[in-house]
Amino acid sequence: MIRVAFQERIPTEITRQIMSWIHPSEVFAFRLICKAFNALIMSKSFASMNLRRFRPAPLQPSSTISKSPTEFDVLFFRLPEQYRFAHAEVSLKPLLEIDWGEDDCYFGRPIPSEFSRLTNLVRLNLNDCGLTGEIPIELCFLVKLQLLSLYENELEGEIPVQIEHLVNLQELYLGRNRLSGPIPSGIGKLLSLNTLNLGPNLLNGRIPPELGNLRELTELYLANNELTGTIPPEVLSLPNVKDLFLHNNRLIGGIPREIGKLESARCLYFEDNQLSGEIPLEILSLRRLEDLDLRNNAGLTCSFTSPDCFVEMKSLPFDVLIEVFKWIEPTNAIYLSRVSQRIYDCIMSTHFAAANLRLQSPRSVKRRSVKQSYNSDFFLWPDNYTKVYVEHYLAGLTKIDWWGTNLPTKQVIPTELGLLHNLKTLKLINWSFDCQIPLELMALNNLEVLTLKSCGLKGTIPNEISNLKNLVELNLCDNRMHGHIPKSIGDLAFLKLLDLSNNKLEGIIPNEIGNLEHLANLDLGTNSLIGCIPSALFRLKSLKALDLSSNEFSGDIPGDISRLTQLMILDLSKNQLTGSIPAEITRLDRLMDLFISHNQLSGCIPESIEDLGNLKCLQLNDNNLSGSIPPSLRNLDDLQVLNLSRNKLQIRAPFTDVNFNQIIMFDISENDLLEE
Amino acid sequence: MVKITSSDNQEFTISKEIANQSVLIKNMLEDVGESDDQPIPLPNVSGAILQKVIEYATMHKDDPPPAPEDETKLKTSEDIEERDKEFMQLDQGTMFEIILAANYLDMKNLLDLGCKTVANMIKGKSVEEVRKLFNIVNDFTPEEEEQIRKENEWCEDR
Repeated sequence: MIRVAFQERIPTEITRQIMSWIHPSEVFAFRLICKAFNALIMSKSFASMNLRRFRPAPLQPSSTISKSPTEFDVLFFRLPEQYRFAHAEVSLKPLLEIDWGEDDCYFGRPIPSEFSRLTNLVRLNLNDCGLTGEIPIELCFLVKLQLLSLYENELEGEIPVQIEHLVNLQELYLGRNRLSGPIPSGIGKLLSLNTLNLGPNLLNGRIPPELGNLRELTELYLANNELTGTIPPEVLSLPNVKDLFLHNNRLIGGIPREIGKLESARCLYFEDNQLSGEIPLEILSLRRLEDLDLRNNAGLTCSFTSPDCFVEMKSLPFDVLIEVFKWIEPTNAIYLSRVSQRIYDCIMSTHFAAANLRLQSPRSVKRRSVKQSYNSDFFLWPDNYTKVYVEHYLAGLTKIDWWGTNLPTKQVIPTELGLLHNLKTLKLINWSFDCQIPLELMALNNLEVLTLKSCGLKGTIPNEISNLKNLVELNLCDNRMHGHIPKSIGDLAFLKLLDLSNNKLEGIIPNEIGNLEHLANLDLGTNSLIGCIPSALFRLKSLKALDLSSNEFSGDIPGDISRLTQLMILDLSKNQLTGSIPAEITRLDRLMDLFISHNQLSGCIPESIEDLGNLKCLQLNDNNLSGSIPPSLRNLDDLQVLNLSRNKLQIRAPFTDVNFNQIIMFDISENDLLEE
Repeated sequence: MVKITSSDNQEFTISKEIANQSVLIKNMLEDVGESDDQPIPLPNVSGAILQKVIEYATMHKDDPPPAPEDETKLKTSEDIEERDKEFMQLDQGTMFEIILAANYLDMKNLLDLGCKTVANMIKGKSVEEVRKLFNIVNDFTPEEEEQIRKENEWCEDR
């Protein structure tokens, strides 16, 4: 066999023909044979001949749609340039539609710039294919394109500014890539666009106001990027936009009033930005709105003071109303609820309350971790807040100390407070309720201080008060409670302070009160209590202050009162007590204030009055006391107030029986004045 | 009947059906006219090769006319009739001579057959084996070779 030198004997044309019978996926390996082979295989004419051998000829004019890639379409993403060119020219050129999405056979490959040869292309869909690299500028030469989808690939780099040449585009999907840089303002020239999807990506810079030119847009998705700046009003003036997604960017500033021009708006997602300012009322005029999300824009506010604007919003779904109104201050919610039944229904929903409370700063809403609450707004909020607030914001609280305001509040103390089992202190002062003490509060068995002062309470003191076994202070003064003092009050073994003054309590003081051996302060003044001063009271060895004034007590002042040896204040004034002042009273040597005025006491002032060495106030006026004033009165060095007026005392003038060193108030008028 | 002479002046008389398988001869016959009795000279083909070519043409003289190219059907180099395979059982030198003759005579089927046969010899072989087979000298520098290997990586990462 004669060995021939291949290169010398065989012309290139024959070699080309020979090699063209080797499949493109194998033939490249033979570039390494020699330089001549390499040059041959890498020539455009070879690529063309090679491809013609192995792939179907150009498709018939009738089949201009490719729904799935052929073996060679796949190679198109891998072959060298010459081949891509040949494939585009030989096979792909007649295509009008390429729909090769959701296929991983080109995974990790860049988009061949040779797509630019397919100048007839109307649709190019390469979504979800794992394509990499940048968007080839050459794609922007496909001016007939109506749809371009590169959605969900791994494309990087910027959106080419030349994209503005694709003036026939109706749908552009570039979302779910890693595209960066700005949104080219030239997209605003693509006037046929109805869908523009650019997220998620890493796009930054501002939203170009030019997008406001896209009057045909129905969906604008710029969400999940890194866009900054404000929302251009132009973009909110698009009359056909149904879905506007701007969420999860870094947008700042307010929501422009132009939002009212989004007549077709159905979904508006603005959440997870840094938007601030007042939510424009115009949002309520969007009658087709179904979904609105403004979450995580802590700077937004909602006052909506003028009711005029609510006329249009009848058709808005509840969820949308809640989304808008939740930005309001909870204290304003009540006012807003009066605008219409529908807003009332919205604002009174628990869902609303929860959404609203979630937005409040810790200033007005104490968080769970806080053990004490001095917030007083709770009673200004509608009822639907109660459960949410108690369960999510007050649970675990040990102290509530809420002072009322002049604003209108709830009529009723929410029974839900009875759920706060950790409470040790419950102080509600100066509230204009109109209710009884809720029995639910009687379940707060850790309570040590219960103060419901000046709260407009009516009804009776519940027997169940004895459930509050740990109570140290019970203060129900300045209410409108009636009925008897329950006997069970005697079970509150730790009680130190009992103030039921200024109510309308009736009947006698129950003897059981004498069981309160730690009681230091007892104030039953200004009620309608009757009967004698019960001797049971005198078992209260710890008592420092006793006020029974302004009742209807009758009978004598028992001498046993002297057993209250700790007593510093005694007020029995304004009753119907008779008899004389017992001399034993002067054994209460810690007494500082003694008020027995406005009774029907007779007899003399005890001689031993001087034993009350700490006395500062002595008011015995408006009785029937007689006799002379004991001279020993002069020994009360600290006396500041002395009122003996309107008795029948014999007083000698000039009056020298008092040490005037400390006296502030002094009245002995309307007695029997004896002149020497 | 048509007379043809080879480069070494061997004369062959063949039927017109056989002669017409060569587009070159067919065109010449049309040019000179049938009345001419002069043999057609084929100075690029030796008698021995012309003998083989005529053998091939005779074998295929009764083939139906080629169907209009069905381009959607994938053609491969394996797509060879058994009798053609046997026909191509030749030494390399003769094989290339026949390919060159087919090219010269413009006989598409024979040219394709030759090219496919050579392609099949190349396929599945290493570059080194191909070089040896066809006596080709590697004129690449190692750097150039490395560069091509790099460019070819896409072939392997499928």
